[in-house]
Amino acid sequence: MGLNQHSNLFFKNNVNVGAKFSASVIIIVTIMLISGWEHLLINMIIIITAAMLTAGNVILKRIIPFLYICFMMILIHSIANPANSTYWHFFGIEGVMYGFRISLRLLAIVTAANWFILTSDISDITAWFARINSDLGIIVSLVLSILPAMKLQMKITMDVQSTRGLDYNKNLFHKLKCYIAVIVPVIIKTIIRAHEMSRLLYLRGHGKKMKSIHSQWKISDYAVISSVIILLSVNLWIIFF
Amino acid sequence: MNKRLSLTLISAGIVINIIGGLLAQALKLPIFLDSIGTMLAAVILGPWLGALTGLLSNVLQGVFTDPVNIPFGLVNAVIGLVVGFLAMKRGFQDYITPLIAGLVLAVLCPLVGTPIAVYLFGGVTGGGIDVVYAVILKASGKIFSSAFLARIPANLADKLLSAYLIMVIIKKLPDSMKGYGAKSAQ
Repeated sequence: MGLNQHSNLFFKNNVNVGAKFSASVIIIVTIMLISGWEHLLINMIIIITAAMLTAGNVILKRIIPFLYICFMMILIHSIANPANSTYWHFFGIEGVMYGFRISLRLLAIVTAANWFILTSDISDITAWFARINSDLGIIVSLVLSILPAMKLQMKITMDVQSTRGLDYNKNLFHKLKCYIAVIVPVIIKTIIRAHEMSRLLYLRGHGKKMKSIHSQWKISDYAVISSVIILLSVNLWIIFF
Repeated sequence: MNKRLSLTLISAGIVINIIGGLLAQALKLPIFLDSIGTMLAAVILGPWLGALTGLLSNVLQGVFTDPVNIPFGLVNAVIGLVVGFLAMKRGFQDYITPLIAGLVLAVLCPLVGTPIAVYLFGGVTGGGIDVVYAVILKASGKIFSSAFLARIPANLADKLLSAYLIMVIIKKLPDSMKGYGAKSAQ
């Protein structure tokens, strides 16, 4: 087991979901306060390095899909940004810098948010939602239980309609007809399932007084929060002084 | 509508939003179709729970898959509010209410979504719409207006189709399940 996997497991098991969520939010707010590209670049390097050390290299897989949109941002703004006045061939330098700055901000935000997802188990996140509000916990649990069944339902309906002669690869109008032919049965089945679930909730005694669960923060939780508060403070100091 | 049924219908709305979006992607449609569940919940449960369905759809998709979805939850919440208030006032079984909903949302959704898209993505979507955006941007020289105008046609088609789909579904449901959608337009 490598260092990355060890630290990933440490963060999954020993740091509270609430602390990780708060840390992600503080990092995102910090990024949103910064406007200079050099300042953003330094922060992005720090955030990606910290995320790779604590969540593993898998964080890069989450960032790579955004590189295409970053490229498009730089390309479109280098050609069409209204601030362009200095040109290198067709490309306006001001537009390139605008696209680059937004790309850095996007990548830093995506990294911070994905760090939370990668270092938290789905069951921990669901339990955390339930601690915030019991009804919210029920909604999240129901979504996670209905979703796989409905995905399967979608696939079955697509296959059934396909065997009945529906072709999904024709023109746009035909594709819309296919969409309706598949989504309507899925919606009706989901509504029926919602009514069944509501009866099950009644049988399980939902609405009666339930015990609320509280969780205590540990030293590791305070350590995570302290480190991101230090990052925020340093950035604020650079911005304002 | 009792609280248990509201909770399960909100969950159903979230699932329909996710499935609708996935199916549109699978069929390579140029529109999102990821707010059908929000509209359904808003018509049955009213504007506030409809808005909650929309907001939670994006928050949950963000938390479990792609965090970039989270800020666009505001757009989905606005859809819930508009459709819910329209359903409260007029029901959702005639042909005019989905038309009004589609037209209002075709302007309101880009109005709420464009500032977020410009801040996060510089107005770029990574899809075919970017060509339209680049042309309008070059001609007008205004980032916000270009991103806003480029989004209107796709939103118009998306919201009209979703609203009429909900109208058809509401008509087929038994009266006890229709919620606010049962009311007939005056």
